[in-house]
Amino acid sequence: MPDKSTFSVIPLVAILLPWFSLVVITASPKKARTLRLWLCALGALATFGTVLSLLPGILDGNTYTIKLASVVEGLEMRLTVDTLGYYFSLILAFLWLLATVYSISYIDHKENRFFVFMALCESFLIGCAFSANMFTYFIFYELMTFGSYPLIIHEETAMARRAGYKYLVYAISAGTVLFFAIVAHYFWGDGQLGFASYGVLSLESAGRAALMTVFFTYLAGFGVKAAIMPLHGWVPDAHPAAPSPASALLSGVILKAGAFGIIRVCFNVFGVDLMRELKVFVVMAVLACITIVVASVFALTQDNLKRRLAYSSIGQVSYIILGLSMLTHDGALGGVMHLTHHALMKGCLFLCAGVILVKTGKKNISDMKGIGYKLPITMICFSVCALAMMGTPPSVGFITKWLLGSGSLEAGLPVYVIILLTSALLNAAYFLPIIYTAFFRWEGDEAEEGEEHHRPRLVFGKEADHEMVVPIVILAALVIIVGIWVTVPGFPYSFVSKVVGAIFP
Amino acid sequence: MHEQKAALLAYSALPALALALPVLGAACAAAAGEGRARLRNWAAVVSTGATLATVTALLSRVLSRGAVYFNLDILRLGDRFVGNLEVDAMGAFFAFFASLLWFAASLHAFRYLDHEHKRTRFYLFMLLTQAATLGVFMVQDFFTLYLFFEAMGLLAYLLVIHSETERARAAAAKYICMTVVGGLSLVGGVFLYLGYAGTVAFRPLAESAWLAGSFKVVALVCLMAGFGVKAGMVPLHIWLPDAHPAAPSPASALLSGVMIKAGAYGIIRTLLSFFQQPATHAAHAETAAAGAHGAEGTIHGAGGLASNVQALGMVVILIAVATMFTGMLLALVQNDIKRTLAYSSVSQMGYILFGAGCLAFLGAEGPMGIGGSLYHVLNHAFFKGCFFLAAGSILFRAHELDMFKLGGLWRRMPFTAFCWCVAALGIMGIPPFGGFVSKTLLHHAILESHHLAEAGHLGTASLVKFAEIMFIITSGGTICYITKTTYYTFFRRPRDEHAHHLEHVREAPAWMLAGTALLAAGVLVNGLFPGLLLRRLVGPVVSTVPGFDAHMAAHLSEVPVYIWANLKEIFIPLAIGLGLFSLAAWPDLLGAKRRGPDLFHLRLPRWLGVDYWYVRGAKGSLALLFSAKRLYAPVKEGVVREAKAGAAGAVRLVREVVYPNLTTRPLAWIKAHTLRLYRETRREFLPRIREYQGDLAVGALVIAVSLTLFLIMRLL
Repeated sequence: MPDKSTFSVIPLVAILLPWFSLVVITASPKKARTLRLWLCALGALATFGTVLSLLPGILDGNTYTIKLASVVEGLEMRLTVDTLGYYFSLILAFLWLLATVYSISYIDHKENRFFVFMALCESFLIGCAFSANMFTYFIFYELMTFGSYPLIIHEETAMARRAGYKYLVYAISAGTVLFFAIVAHYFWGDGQLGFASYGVLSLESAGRAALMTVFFTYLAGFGVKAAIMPLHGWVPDAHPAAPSPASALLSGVILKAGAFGIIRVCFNVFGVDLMRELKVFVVMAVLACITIVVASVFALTQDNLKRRLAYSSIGQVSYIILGLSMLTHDGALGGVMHLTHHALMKGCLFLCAGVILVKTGKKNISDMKGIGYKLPITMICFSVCALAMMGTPPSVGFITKWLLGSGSLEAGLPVYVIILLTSALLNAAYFLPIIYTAFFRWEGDEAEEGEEHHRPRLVFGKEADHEMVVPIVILAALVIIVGIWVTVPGFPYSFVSKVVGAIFP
Repeated sequence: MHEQKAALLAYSALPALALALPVLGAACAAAAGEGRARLRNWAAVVSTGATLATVTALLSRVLSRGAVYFNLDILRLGDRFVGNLEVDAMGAFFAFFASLLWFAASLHAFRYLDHEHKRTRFYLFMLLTQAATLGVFMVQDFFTLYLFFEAMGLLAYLLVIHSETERARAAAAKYICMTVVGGLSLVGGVFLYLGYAGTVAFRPLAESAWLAGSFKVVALVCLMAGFGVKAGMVPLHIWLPDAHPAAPSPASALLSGVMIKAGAYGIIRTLLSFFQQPATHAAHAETAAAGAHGAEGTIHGAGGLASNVQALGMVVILIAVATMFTGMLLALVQNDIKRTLAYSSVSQMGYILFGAGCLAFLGAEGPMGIGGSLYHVLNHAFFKGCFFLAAGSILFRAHELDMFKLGGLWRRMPFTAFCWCVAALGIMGIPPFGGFVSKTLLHHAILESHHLAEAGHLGTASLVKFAEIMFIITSGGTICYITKTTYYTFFRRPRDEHAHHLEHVREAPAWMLAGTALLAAGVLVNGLFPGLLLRRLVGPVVSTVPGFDAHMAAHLSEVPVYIWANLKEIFIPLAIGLGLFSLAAWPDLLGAKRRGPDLFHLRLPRWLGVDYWYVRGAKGSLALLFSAKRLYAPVKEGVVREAKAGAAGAVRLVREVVYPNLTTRPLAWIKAHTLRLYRETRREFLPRIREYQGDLAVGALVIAVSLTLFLIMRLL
């Protein structure tokens, strides 16, 4: 991989551009709130533009690299943009741009702190995506963990503080485990911390037990962010406590940073053949299946909308793990593509939940009767994404479901199909009642049959500020567009099919 | 595959146009809104009319020049999956009557919706559902079929729940549950089909291990269940009798006339896929088929009579018999007109499945089965559509659907009554109306099956005979419940207590009559010109299905219908039906006082229905899931408690045993120790430091300078 790559400063620029917001916020006068926040959005836009500028080269198969520092011989901080990393950075920069715009009208206090840490988090996450080796990845990953803490406790309520505390306990423990994983990897992998297309570890370099130790410490370390089931505890607390744009990013991107780490470990550190040899994929598959089903059952019992969405995220991120564990072409394709698919869907759902919260103050689903009439555009987008989560065609959710199902047949294990279908059924069971409550009930509809005057009317155009509605509409439209024209260059398929096609010829 | 496609198929934009027109109409209707209501209604009528014209052109083109395709090119996932449109004769046939029914329904809805709310929403989703439904009929693989099928099912939810009354809500909840479960079953079935046929196309790949796959049965069951939910197949029919009456009447006509046919279409496609064996497995049949079917036959192989396909056919026949009989029995005891019609739909779907079952049972000699099935699809679409539209007219004028509270409507609504009667004679199978033709074909098919079973000395011969007897009994029951509904609604003198409600009832508006009459005319045409339809429409459609015996397919086009051998078959059902009717309705017929039990008001206990057990099962499994969660919670709490206790214990251990001083008064301890260390160090080292003062200073300087130099070099 490194011999083909060309030197480029653009990766470094993409990481440094979010810091522009930091400068803006510290330098600008106190009063010009709108200007200041829009300049932050401009920073996010510039970042997205910078990432986008690499697109043609990446599609041609180029990689770009830049060395940041060298700690000791062989252990260096280096940024390399390969197809997989670029794929992650594209969706994260895009979602970040939308969430930043959304936050302009959503965040009503201490917006300076919020925007600064948003920008820092973006910078660190792009660093994660562009990391050339595990060491760099670990550093950016840990920075991102601390950068996202102020986002979670932003509301500063007792609940938010508790959730933030829980998040820190989980994340720091995970960081420690991850550190040991990297040390073990360094020690047993002959100092090979870089990413290679077919994996860097092999049975010659270390024994079976040593490699399995490395794998499982990695799985445990990244599993906390990826919310694999016994390690998911912080997710259902952190999501409802955080402001909605932050929950959208948590669910859409930060959870995915863990999943992305696991993808890197599977594809670029261990390699598919070694995983098949070690049979570690069995553990991944079992954990993922349990998480998918159990998280959906937990989601059924939640009345708080954002908590329900959080449990749904736990289940959905495990789709990625399940797809990886199949070790087949379609399974890996579906799993890795779900990274973006889920980011689009869940990002939109959390932003919708934010609009509901801001405009009506309602958090619980049982209170949301007739809300579809007050907030028609929001709830239509919500419905689109909820149906997509169920895997209804034509949408990105269907693509994932189809590819995972096809992959499980390639693996010769139709039992995964049953898991997927169960999950889809449970998804329907917890998403459809929300749509039903929003559109087909209204306050006082039990009272008397035929009392028509209570029946609300659709009111368009009065629901929320454009800063909040436009990102939602864009995301919902993409959920369908990406689900229909799958192969357009720049859409997930164009990157992932290349990566997966190289691994599973 | 692609080269073959190019050789066999012609490109045509008509399928895409047929899908785009309803969507365009929906957009216009939504844009016009309530403010320009007439424009909106006209948009619906014009777009459905234009769609009908397009689909008719498509049908004639497909029948004359073979299947066409259109590169929609959506959902492309690698080389194996892509959503494209491809219309063969059978698809065009289904699309044709679907658009005809949609046109009739939009005519009827023009005025019917006056007493409904949220009319724009209704039009929007009615037209979108049309696009999805037409899409179902315009594809040639299960992947794209699933796409449109699911869209159709979900869009129709808006039609079912439209009135938003408690009854409609309950019906819609049942409907959506069944749709979602059916959709999942379908997608599971498609996956298994893919896994064992090697493709999602309707035609299995020649080199696949299709007939050897052990999951074949599961795939089949999943596909049949998925389509069967929509088709109202017993025991998956439970949503149908609730949803069809709950929807506004034009929508009921569409649900009953077209959407359940989409389910039947799926089942027929599934059966044909299973029935078409790949060439490698049917080498012995190929020589016979090659001459008959030309290129098609040699590529895909022809059907031989495999025994497992025959067993499949038998199972489908038995399900069909159960469906038609249960539907008939439940239709007998209803008093709501639309509910009667809905159960009647279940029963009639049994007839359609019956033909499909005969097709699978007969194998290559099955054109009679599929021919009867297709003819009945057409018939049922017309007469059930007509019934529901007429019922809508009754509701529109009389605001009542309980047939025992109505009566004498033929004087007040003569045209509606006429259309209803045409449809009624059609469904009863009285010559010369449509139903007679299709029931004759179906009867021929089951007789052929019986001959086949007897000739082959198969153990199923007696079962086939049983199916035939049930077929005749069900036809009798159909005559009974339709006579009952017609009699009580239109012809009996209304009871005195209801008479004043009916005084102001007038004939339905012209728009509604137009829709109803269009479908009634369809019933008449089907009955009067069977030869024409069989030769020009049904026969050609059947002959395009690969794998049939060419001689049998040709025979279907020329089968004589109105001959004494067929006509005499109607007398047994007629005797059963009218006998049953007069047995139950004699007090009303004679104006006498009723004694004894009343068949038409029978109320069955709830536990007899399958939906009771479904709800019990669903609740039970949910309770099981939650009890698992309840069991998990104490475990989790226990783990957390133990972990906390463990941590506290460890802290106590350190504090009390290891370093009591360190932890109780840490500052004092640190201070004391630091001071002691300092004093000892000072006493020990101070003299020596004084001794080597100069050397130490030089050493420190050297170290500092070299460090600085190193750092500078490193940074540069």
